[in-house]
Amino acid sequence: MIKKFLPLISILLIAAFALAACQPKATPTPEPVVEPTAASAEPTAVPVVEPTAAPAGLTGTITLWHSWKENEILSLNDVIAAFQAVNPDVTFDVLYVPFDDLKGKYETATATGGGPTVLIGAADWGPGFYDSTFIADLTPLVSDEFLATINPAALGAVQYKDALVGLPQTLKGVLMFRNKTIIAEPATSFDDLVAKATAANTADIQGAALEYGFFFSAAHLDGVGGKLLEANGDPAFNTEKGVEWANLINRFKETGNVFSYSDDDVSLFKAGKAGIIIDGSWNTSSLAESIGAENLAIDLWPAPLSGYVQTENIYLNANATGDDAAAGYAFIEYFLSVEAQTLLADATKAGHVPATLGVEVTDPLLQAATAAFEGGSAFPVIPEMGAYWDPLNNALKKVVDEGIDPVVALQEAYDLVVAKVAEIRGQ
Amino acid sequence: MPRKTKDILKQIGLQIFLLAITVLVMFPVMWIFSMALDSRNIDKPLDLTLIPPGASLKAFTKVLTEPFNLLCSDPGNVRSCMTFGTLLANSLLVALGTSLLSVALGASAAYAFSRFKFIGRQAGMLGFIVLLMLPATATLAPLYVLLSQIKIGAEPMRATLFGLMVAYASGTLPFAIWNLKGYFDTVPKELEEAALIDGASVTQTFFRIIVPLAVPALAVTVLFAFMAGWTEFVLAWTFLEDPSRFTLAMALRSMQGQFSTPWSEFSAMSILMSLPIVALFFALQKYLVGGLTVGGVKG
Repeated sequence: MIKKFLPLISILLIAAFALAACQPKATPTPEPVVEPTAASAEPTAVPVVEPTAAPAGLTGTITLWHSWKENEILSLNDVIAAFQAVNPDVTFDVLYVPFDDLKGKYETATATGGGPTVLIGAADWGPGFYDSTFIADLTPLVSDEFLATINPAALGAVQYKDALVGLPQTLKGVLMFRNKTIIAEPATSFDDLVAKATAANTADIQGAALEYGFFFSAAHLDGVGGKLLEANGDPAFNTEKGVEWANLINRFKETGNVFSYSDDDVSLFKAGKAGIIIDGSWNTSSLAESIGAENLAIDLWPAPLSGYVQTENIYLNANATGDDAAAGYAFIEYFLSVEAQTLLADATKAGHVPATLGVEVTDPLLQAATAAFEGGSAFPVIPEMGAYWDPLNNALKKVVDEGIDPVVALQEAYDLVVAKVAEIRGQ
Repeated sequence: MPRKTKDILKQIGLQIFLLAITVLVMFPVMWIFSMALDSRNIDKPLDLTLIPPGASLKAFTKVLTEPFNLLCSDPGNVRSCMTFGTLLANSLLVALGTSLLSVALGASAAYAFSRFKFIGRQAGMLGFIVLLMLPATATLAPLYVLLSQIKIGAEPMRATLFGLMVAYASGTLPFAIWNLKGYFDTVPKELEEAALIDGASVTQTFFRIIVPLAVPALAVTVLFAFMAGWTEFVLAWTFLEDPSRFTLAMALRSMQGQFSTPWSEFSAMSILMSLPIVALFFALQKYLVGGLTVGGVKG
C-alpha cells in the first residue's frame, strides 16, 4: 500500500523542495561591495554619487561589460587610457560578452546583487532594465548643461517614465548603401530608385536588392506620413497611410528579387552583384572592405523612404555603490565628452557616429551616415514595441510574397498587436 | 516480372533512398567544409561549390595561430588574449572533469539504486526523470545562485572552471544514473554473491566485479558527459567572468557577432572543435552500441 503512494509522495516532496527553493531566502547574499536590490515594482534608488563635471581624483574599479567587436575595442581602449590619464587611481575590468548572451548575463548577475559597474548595450534594453531595477536613474547626476551637449534625438532613446535610464553613446541605424560602380548617382525618389535599379539590372547584377524585413522597412511608414504607434504604445499603423506603406514595400519587387531578414542581399552587394541595398550602419566597414571604400556610398533616403535611427547606450548598474559608482558615472560622462566621442568616431577603429554635438567627423562615409540619420526616424524604445515585430513582419510577407490585400494583412496584424500589447501591459 | 528483376529494382530503390538520406546528412557537413575553405570575405557562399574559388586553409591557420582578440584579460595587451591552445586546455579540463564527476557519482549512485532497497529509491529515480525532462537553461538561475554562494578563496565557485564542471555534471548525472542503473540491473547478482562469499567487501565487489563489467555503459556516460562539457556555452558565458578560463565553445560563440560573423573562421573552428569528439567516439566505438542498448531497456 505504502509502495503505491511512494511516487505521489516523491512528487509532493520534489514540489515542496522546488517551492522552498523559490522562497525569497534563497536569494544569495550580495557580494561585499555591492548593495542588494530588493525586487520591487518601483524603480530603485540611484547610487549616492555626486555629479562630476570633469573627472579627476577618483578611485575605485570600473567593471565594464560590452559586446563590441575588435575594431571597436581599439577605440574603447583609447577612451579608457584617456580617462585613466586623468584618473590614474581608477582601474578597469573589461569583459567582452557576445551580444546574444550579454543581456541574460547582466540580468542574472544584477538580479543576484552583482554585475558590472557599467554596461554598454542596446537602447531597447533600457526600459526593461529600469522596470526591473537593474539600472540606475541618472537624472539626479546629470546637469542640464551636460544634457545640452547631447544630440536631442538620441537623448529621446534614454528617457523613460521621467527617468534617464542611461546615456546614448552612439547613433546607428538603417541606411541605404550604393555601389558607385553599378549605380553612379544617388536616387532622388523611390520612382527614380526603381528606374535606376532596373536600368542597372543584368543577368549577373541586380540594380537594387531591397530588404523588406520589418526592422528595415518600418520607418518607411513614417516616410509616407503615417506612424507605427502612438507615444503610449498603442498601434497606429492600421490606416490609409499604413496601406500606402504596404503598397510601397510591395513595389520593391519592381527592382527584382527582394529580401526579408536574409544576408543574401549583403552577400550579393559584397560580391559586387548588387547596386543598392538597405542595411545597418554597423556593416559599413565590412561593406567598404568588400567593394572598396572609394566605391561605397551612403545615400540620403529617397522620398518617401526612411530608416530607423537607434542609439547604443551606456548604463550604470543600480547595484553599484561608493567609489565604484562614482568612478562609473564619471566614466559614463566622459564617454559622452567631445574628446571621447572623437576617439570613438575614428573610422579606422570603432567608426561610431557621435551622439554628442560638436564632434568633428572627417571620414566621408561617417559624414554621409550622419546626414542620412538626420532624415531617418527614431526607433521606438518602449516595451510595447516587442508586440509589433512578428505580426507586422508576417503582414509584410503576406503582402509581398503571397499577394494578400494590404488592408486584410494589416487588420490581422493590428488584432495580433492589440492582443500582444495588452499581454505586455499585463492586462 | 521475373523475381530477379523485381529484386534488382527493389535494391536500386533502396540504394537511391539511402543515397538521398546520405546526401541529406552530409550536406550540412559539406557546406561547413566548403565555408571553412572559402577565403572570400562574404557572409556566406551563394552557391555550394565543394572547393570554393581561391580555396585555402587561411581560416584554419588563423584560428590555430592567432590570438582571440575579444577574449583578453587585459584588452590593451594582446599577450593576455586567449589562444586556441589555452582555450583547448580549458575545454579539455572542463569536459574531462565533467565526465569524471558524472561517471564517479553516476556509477556509485546507480549501483545503490540498482542493488540496495531504501526509502525514496523509486522517488529518486522519478526525480531523475523530472530532471531529464527539464531543458538545460531551466537550471541556470538556481545553479547561478547556488554556486555564487559557495566561495573558493575570495571568489564564487560559479566563476571557476570547477564550478562549471559541477554545473555541467548536475545536468549529465540524471542520464548517467538512469543509464548505468539499467546496465547494473542486467549484471547477475550471483557474480557479486560469489565475490562476497570469497571474502570481498561490497566496495571491492563494486570496483572489481561490477565496474569492469559495466565498461560499455561507462563509455556511453563518458561520451555524453564529455560532449556536454565540450560544447556547452550558455552556462559558461553566464557564469565565467575571467577570460583566462574561457573555453573553445565560448570562443566559437564569441565569433558569432550581432551583425556579422566571419563564417570561414567560424566553420574552421567548428571543424577543429569536433575533432576531439570524433576521436573519443572512435576510441569508445566498440562499447557504445552495447552500452546504449542494454542500459536503455532495463528500468
